Amino acid sequence: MAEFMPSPELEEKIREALAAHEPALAFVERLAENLGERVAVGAPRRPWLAARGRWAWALGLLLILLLAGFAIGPANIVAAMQRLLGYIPGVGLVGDSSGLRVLAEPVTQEREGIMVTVSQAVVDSERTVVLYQVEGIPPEAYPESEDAPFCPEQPQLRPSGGVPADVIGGRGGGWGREGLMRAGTAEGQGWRSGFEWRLIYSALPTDVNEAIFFIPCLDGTAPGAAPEDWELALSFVPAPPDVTVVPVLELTPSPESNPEPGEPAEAGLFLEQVIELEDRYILIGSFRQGSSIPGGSVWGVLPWLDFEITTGDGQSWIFWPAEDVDLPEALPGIVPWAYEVLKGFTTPPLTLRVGAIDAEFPADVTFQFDAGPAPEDGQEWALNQDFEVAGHTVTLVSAVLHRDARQNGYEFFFRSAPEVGAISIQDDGHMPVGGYGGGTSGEFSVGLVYDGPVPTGLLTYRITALTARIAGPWTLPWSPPASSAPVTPVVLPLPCLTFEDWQRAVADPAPIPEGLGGRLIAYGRIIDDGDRLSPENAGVFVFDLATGERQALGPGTWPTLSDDGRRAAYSWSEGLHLVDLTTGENQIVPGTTTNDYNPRFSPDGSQLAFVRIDDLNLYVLNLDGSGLQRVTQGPEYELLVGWTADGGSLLYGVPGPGGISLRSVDLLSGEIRDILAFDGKDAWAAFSPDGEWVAYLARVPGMDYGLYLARLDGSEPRLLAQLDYWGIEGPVWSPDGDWLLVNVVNPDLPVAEITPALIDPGTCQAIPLRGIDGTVQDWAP
Amino acid sequence: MPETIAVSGLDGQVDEESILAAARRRDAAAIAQLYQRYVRPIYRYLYSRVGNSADAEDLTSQTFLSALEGLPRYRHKGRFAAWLFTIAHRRAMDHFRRHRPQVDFDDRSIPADGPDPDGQVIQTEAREDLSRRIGALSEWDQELLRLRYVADLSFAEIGAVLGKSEEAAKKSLYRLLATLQEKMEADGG
Repeated sequence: MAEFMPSPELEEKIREALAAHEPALAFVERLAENLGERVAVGAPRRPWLAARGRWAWALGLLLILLLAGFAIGPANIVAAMQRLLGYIPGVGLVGDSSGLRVLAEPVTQEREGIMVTVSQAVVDSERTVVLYQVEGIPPEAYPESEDAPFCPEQPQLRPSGGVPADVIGGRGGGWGREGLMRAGTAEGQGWRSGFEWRLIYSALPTDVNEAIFFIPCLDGTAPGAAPEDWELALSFVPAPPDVTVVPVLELTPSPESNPEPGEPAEAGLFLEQVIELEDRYILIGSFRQGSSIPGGSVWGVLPWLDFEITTGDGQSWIFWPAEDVDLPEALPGIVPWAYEVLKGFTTPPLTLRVGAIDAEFPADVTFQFDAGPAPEDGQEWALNQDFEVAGHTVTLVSAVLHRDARQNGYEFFFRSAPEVGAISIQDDGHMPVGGYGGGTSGEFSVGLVYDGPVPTGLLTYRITALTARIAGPWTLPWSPPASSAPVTPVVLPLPCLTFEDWQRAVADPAPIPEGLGGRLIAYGRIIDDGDRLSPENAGVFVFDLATGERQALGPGTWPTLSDDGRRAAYSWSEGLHLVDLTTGENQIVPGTTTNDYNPRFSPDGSQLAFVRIDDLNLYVLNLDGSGLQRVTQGPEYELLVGWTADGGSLLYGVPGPGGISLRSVDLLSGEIRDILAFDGKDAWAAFSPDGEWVAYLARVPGMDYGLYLARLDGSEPRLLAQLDYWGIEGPVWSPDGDWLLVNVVNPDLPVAEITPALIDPGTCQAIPLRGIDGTVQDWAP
Repeated sequence: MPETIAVSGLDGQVDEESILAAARRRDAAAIAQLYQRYVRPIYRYLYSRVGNSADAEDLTSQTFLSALEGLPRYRHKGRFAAWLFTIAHRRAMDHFRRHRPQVDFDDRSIPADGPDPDGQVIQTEAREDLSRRIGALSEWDQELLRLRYVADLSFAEIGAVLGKSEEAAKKSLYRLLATLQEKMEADGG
């Protein structure tokens, strides 16, 4: 019997019967915003500060208020004492110091090698903030397969003799409606074998000082695979004098806030609170549009564009979002912000600057188009109608009908001035269930999605709003209070290769140095189907640097080459693949499985080291599958970097709360040696062939990640490259150790564009390598 | 109330390997790209499970929150969609365990295309008939249909979600469709 093939008609009927609904755009945007905040708070926490006496802070506040008058102007100071606010590092802003309660002592519980610690908890009149950490979660506690269930529960705070503390709103809230999230807000970070979270609950009643912090299961672990139902007894006491409560200097909006000349004075950046810590300030304020944008409204945090802080001599200065300051809800025209700013600049004032904002302008413009009685899928109408919307000319260029599962409705294409980024349209006569849109500024589309029949005939739509970019800049100069303690000047790292250098190198690429050759192995395009690079057309291939010839090896990831360039290995669904590049013979290494990845050849080419996902430990075996040896024992989650030149040890990274620790493990003795620690997210590091240097990707203070080069003990560090917000992946050394190869990622394009590039570690010259269409992961002669 | 629609975000295919690598480092732009690519299919799938937008929104939020937290543990094998839908699938299962019976397809009113009132009645009846048939299928079979025709997953991805091979997922679905078509034809549908 011939194999059944469903007809397109049957499949379409099933799609219709299943009646997919599109999400409301407001929900999509809100969730995007929440996720963005969630990502933002995942940045590493700063070290906590030395405690100051709590009861000294009121005096300190008075002193600062007095002295700040010289720096900010007496007219700016309001009666901060009216609303005594303090700040506790890691906890955030706290109110009413008289009723403040704190954890009597940290509480730790260990079960089966897993340590849970509630390190800090503070109760004020409005909320309870709990900070807790978990460490030592073994890999096997997480689900073995991706389709297995895992723990979704957040801890509860159960007051003694009462019901669990209420969920409170605010930033990060709204993830669950039906009490699925026990905490009102949750922030934190994880490092695979552990994580830490900051949870916010409603305030414990004033007469309740005992509570149970109940953890139903550890976040992300498989049911029953790790201890469950943790109960940590918390005791709260009135805050003793030695608790760190840093004063908050409260200001009126500063008149130094100044939009550019000609703008109404009411608009701009306003500084409202300042917190001085040992090594940094926290600046809290808002952008208020005032009357400077007639008819328009700045809304939420998304409008922020081109925000920067510079010193008095024009140098960009280090700042980052304040993680533990919970901002008030944004209101139309008022966008709250809070940043931490590093101390140590020598030339005040600091200037906060917003280059541009997006504002929404309400509109009420109606247009019609005649779709006819029976429009067809894909039918296009050339409309070319001009409208005046909120002072902008908008051209409705065309409309297209889509009838598929994702886009059941009309898509309208618009053109306008470059500053116009979006419009909102409404169908008053029908009930669209969702919408979508996109495009570049000045040329964009808006689609409406209907549930069921798409309306036909003469249709009327209403343009209800237009979003346009308003150019600033708006600036806010600020000088630290004269009372600030002297600090050691901080010299910011200057990358040897900058983003501007990179752009010049791309615009005018230098040729590959004569004599430089060898084989590169990459993950990228192996099927020339004309489509965008995707998992369907990507795999592992070898690229001859001298000739540009490509040798596709097949679908796979994590490719590597033997040091003599004669063999390749990579991971894929059946196990580790081993390829003889001379004969093309491609075989599975016996004893390896789909859960083995990141293979690395030993220097003599006789063995492979790799990571086994089952327990996230390092293993070594011979190429014929014999001699399997588990090299590390956990509980850390080791990330393989390579072998030492003598083949006696493996080099690997271990993620932790402070970043990555590079280590070596002796294959015979099992001895582990620390090499270097850096603020990285992944063990992107490469040891030079002579074993003298290590190149690694680490966070650059105040910037994104950069490529560093240092000696193995961390001495003589140099910031080789930092390409602004563009990514750098790799690095890989050339076989002779004269060049580094990295993969530069342009995140601006819908499909991230990756350009492998050579970097001369001595001069920082960059040479983009074109025509590879993939991510280079190893280099051999 | 009519929906107000505005332009937002990106809508395009991405090189997921590189995007995922960046997302695992909590790169905000990469996570935003993944989100924009999958939020609508995930929502549609969950809506098809729970039948109301409030729960679908909750479960969509939970799915992306879990995915965000789980990203560091995710290893790219060309199956990100399967991984994400597995989370969504599990969220939906948890939801039903905690709350209410699953929505039945035949409980829905399915509107039909076209301006012709007579034709519309016929089409609506046909769809309602098909909906009833789908509603009578086993949960596993319904899930097959949802993953294929609501979530638009490939057979390999469906297999990964349901713990079957790609070939098994394909054969199961085609067998199911053949049966459905056979019954509809037998009943004059």
